[in-house]
Amino acid sequence: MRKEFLEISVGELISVTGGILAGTLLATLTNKIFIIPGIFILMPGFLEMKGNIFGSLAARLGTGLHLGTIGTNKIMTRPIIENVIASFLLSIIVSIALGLMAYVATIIFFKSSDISILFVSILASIISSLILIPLTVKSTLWLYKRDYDPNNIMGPYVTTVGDVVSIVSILLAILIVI
Amino acid sequence: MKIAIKIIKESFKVLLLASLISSFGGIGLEGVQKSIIAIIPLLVLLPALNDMVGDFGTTFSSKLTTLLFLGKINPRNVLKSEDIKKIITTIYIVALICAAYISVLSIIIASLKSFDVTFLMFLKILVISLVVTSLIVSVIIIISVLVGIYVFKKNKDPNNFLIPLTTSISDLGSMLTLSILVRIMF
Repeated sequence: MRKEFLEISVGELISVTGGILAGTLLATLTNKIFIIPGIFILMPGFLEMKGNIFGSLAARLGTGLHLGTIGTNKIMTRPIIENVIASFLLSIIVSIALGLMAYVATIIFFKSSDISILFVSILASIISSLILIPLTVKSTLWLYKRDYDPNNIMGPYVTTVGDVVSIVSILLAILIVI
Repeated sequence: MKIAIKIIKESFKVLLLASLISSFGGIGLEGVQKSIIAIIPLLVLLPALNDMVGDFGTTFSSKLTTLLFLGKINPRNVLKSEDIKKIITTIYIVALICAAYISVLSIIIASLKSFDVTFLMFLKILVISLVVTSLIVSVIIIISVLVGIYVFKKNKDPNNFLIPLTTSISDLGSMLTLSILVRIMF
């Protein structure tokens, strides 16, 4: 039980510290981020999406590395490229759905609307994917090369880094859209 | 492109559902937007609380599934298993420590950002963090056990259902509970 306690608590404390960093960023940028109605509706789903898509990408790469279907020497191999394309497309498709959901929900529940939320969602998804995809692929291969099991490390790592990158991407998208 | 199409087909529905459920939690937050933006510790706390509760859902679900597959627990009497009791105890202890930790950290950061922090404010943030965490972790454990056993008895892998289910329920539950508590306490 002690080993279990240590493993869970250390990983979680690092992960929540990253979450606090993302929150600090959010608090610093409030006057820029919360100018579009519906950002609070978009945010939880957007952060969740990044963790799910890139967490799964890392898990699939980890399984491929263990099975020997993916090697550590070359990144531009067919399985890795196809995994990257799938993750990128999923990220775009889900961000469209999230943007539409936020737009419709602000009209229904808060009687205000701004279609910019849809463009912010898509653009933020593209920006964050361009950062997170290479980071996830390189980190997973790097960890495996150094005899670590990526499955034990990449989950909390992706959600934590994903939160910070997502918030910065939303800010950049807002600055571009408005 | 066979691999990419297979990944998109298998993941699309679950990802969409999980993200949309999380957005419902966001509707609650949008309703208390002014309070959250005005009270900096709440804003700092938000992403960490959101992630943390989901992480415990993932940890409990994957451990429950492993024990079921290893035959170490009887699906008819899961809660009587010593292994499960130990996991639940560990998760509750770590969850409460982390909830207190992020409350303290958010207060420290807020005061560094020149936010006027009072002892009452600290207590309110601590109570919100502890209540949301303990409530949603309990809900996730109950749902994981019920759904996990049902899916396992149907000869399917509970991992494929429990992880997206618990993370999205924890997102929705934590954001809605947080919104209600903010309405009551601030």
